[in-house]
Amino acid sequence: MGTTKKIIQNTLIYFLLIIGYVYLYVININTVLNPSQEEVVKSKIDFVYQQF
Amino acid sequence: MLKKIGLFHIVPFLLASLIFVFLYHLFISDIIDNHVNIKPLKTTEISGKQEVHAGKYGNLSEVDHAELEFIASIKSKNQLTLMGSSEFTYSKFTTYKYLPAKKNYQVLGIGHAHHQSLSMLIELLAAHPENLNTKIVFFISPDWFNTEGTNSKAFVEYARPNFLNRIINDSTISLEYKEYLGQYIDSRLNEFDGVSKSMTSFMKIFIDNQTNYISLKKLKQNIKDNFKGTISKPIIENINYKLNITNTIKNSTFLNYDSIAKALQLKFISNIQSNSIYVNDNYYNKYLSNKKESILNQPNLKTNEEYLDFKLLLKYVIERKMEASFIILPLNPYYYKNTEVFLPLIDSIKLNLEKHDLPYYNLYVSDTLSYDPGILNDVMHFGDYGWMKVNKYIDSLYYGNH
Repeated sequence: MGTTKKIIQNTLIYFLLIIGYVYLYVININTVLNPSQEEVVKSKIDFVYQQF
Repeated sequence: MLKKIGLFHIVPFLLASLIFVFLYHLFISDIIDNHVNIKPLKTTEISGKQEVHAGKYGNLSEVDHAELEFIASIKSKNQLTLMGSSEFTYSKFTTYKYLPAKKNYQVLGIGHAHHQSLSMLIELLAAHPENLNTKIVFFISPDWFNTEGTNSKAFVEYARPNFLNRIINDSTISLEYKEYLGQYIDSRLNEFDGVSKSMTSFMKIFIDNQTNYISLKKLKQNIKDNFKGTISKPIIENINYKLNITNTIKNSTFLNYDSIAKALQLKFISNIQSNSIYVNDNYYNKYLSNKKESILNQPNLKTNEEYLDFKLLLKYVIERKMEASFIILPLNPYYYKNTEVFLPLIDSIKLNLEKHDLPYYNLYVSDTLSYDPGILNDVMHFGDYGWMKVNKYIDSLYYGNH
């Protein structure tokens, strides 16, 4: 396989990987597939009420 | 070996990144700016009759109609809304119980622990169409300024989805407030489990307005927002309140606040058995028996998050010409040994209020000699005597009775 062909092939692979990353992690594919799902927002930190 | 990696991996990766950025800007960038204010596609109407003219809600999830009652209270010209935090107890001498019971005044209290400036601002922003000239009293607890501002759990509790949706969809609300909320959400993103569409939109407003922000983060936000916009068509539901405001008839019962207050003060002091720092026995035995005193940290007024939140709240109150007043609570100087470190903060709050002719009742003191025993039930929460002093002030200020 020629050097140019290999570079083009890897460029394509990296391009697809970037697209995949964007869809899976940046856009969050779950919200794309289920746009009407109920939004639940919670705090991960449990702040205990302090008296003082 | 290194040459091979560079040629077959680094170069293709950079090329792929460039192609991605090029294609992204070619096809997507032209719609970036169209999503700052996402048009609501659906409107939910919350309608009903105002039924509550007294008492308090810790938060607006307490009962189904609490949200409607809050908006009605803000809208009603005859009802006084009180916003406070953990001093809002169930005592019959609290303003929201005492004045309705004795004088048939309409008073509604909102809040419990951690209900601080930012939460109050969000609730008022959500009532933007209803809040012009509203009658409102803010209870300012100095202890808030010893925290890092509103915590994420309190934000989730008080910044209700309906409220955030309403704020983001209301184009008459200044972008400054939306950007500030976006900054808050962005800075605490790791503390949230799940982020709603409106929260994302607030963040986008903030990120878009940061010229010096890390571009990768900005790019990531834009991709996220626009792909969602083009593929899943986000719906930020619009909320419309249709309220039937109702009124009660005030009575003119004369109350001798001073004598009632004095009796409550004497009763409080004579009931204390366990300590000489004017803290009720139950509280003292539960929380203070192993911790006799505490030291306060002096808030830095340039960086204190709560103070910045408070200043923005104040700006909004002035902007909306609210008939607002402020009660500044004391801290018990018998327990807090350096209450004087809060004086610059209190002075600054007072100065801001005076500058805009906003009435306030400052009960903060910096030494034990100036402290009025019984005004607090413990180290920071009003006792019945304190509430009675507040009742007198509010009756005089809003209803003209001395």
